[in-house]
Amino acid sequence: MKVKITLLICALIGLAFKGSEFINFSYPSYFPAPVYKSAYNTLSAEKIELGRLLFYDPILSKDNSISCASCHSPYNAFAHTDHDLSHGINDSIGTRNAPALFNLAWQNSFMWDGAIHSLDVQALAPVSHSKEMAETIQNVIVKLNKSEIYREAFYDAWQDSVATGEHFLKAIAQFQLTLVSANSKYDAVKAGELEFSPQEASGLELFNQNCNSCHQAPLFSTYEFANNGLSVDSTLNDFGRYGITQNSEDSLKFKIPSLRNLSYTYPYMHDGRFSTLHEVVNHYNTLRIDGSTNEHLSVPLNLSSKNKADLVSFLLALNDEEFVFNPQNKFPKQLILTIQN
Amino acid sequence: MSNFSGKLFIAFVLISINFIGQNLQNDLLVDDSHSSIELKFRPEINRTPLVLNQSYYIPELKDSITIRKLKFYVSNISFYQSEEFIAQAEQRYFLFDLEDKKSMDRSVVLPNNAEFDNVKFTIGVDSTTQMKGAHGGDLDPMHGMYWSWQSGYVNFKLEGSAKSCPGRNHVFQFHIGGFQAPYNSLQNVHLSFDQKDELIIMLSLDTLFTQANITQDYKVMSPSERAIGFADQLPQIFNVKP
Repeated sequence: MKVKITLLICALIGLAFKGSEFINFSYPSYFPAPVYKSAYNTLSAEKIELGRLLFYDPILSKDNSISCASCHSPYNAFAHTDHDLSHGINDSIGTRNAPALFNLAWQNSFMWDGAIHSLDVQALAPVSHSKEMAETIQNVIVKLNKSEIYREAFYDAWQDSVATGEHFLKAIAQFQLTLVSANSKYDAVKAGELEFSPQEASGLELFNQNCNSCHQAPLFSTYEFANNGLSVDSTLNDFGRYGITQNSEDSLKFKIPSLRNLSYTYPYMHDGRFSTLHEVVNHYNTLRIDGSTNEHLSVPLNLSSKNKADLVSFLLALNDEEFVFNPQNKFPKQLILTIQN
Repeated sequence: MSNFSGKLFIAFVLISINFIGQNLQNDLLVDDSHSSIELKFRPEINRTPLVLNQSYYIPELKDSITIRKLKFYVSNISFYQSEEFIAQAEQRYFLFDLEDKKSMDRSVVLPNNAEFDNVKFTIGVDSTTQMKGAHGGDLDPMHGMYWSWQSGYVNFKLEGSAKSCPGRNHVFQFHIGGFQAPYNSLQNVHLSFDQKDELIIMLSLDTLFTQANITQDYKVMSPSERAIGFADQLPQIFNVKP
């Protein structure tokens, strides 16, 4: 009997440890408080791991060919390098450049036009889009419930082996919340571990004068919507935020992207029209201002060649190699089993 | 059995008895303090019960309509005795789906001996709940009542066809939703009734077709001015069975 009691106590301690397993969500003290309301979706190691499985699993698409990672690759800071517009099921081409996924806990809206108001429901959009995964949430849940691996993973995460829409969505959101990028050279300088080169320091000064209003440090975006003076591409006729609010003041406004990880996330802009940072800087340097352009872009930058190079050198100090190669964010090996089955 | 394990065994038996006893007591308490009222929604056209995929003639339209889908959310059901608040249904959100007969008859748990003569509820899902992200149960986005391309619940969904409707295959689709300003489509309903064990609420759908002109506006599927216009018509189609 004593042995049994001892075993029971050991089991309880084991459970307690499992519950408090290290959760991969931390950020530096100079970051603002996250805006994500975790009270409605409390993080746990098991839920994050379930989310990671789902993120990398093509089971989410109609023909089991496309996963979230197809267009949001870890090596590209979860963007889709080399494609101006992303492609999904049957090589269908969409209308926008897949945005990089990191520091999502500091964002109140998602997609280039802010069509989604909560990270917890975001996954519904790519799953059901006819050119992305072309699947229904109902069918994803049916497929997940047929899989032994997912029954176990859902049980570990939610103490219920039956997959539901709610649990599926919340788990994917949890994995994405852990994608925190805060280990660039900029962050090391903030922490007093490194110093900027003279060129980067000059670039920082130019950045503060010209870019920081919209691409505010330390997240390098306010995550608001702005018209940055790009003319509309007549093959796409994408008017951005206007499509959601139907308010003419929002015409050609798109969500301001973060400037972290630019080396991994090219091409740039909502339609991927610029493939290099020099093209981007040149756009702001020679911008034609009209009444609808963002108030912070009242004049073209008019930077000299040297200043442009300095600015770009500072921007490259925002690359976070540790984030891009973090094994905790990568393809989960358990998936090989489900894909083989 | 050693003395220690003997004591432990007795303690276990005592705890078990206490536990069972408490459970019994709890059951009795529930029985004592709560009762339930059957809440039934009954859609009809021209005072005839609506059956999906059957044709109904609408004189004002000079055409027949067929409904193939009717789904809607009813939430925050509150019971009143004249102006005094008595109780709110424990379950806050109900999805009614004509295709799923069970969903049209629901039990609403209320405190026992509650007296009431009028009820208030909303059609749709309030913005506070929507802002909280993903939900389960009747609110699970799996039920086909959640927009994926622009997030938010569809509060009221009505689909069907009529020859005079110029849409593809003469189909009309009203997916009425939107919770963010300026297109909040939530609607309040207030109904008086004589207290009974069941509350049967009729939906007079013909009213919608005499007011919405499906020869012109037959597709509403986003938060918009038109969705608000349609939503404004909804409270008047709900009435208590006399």
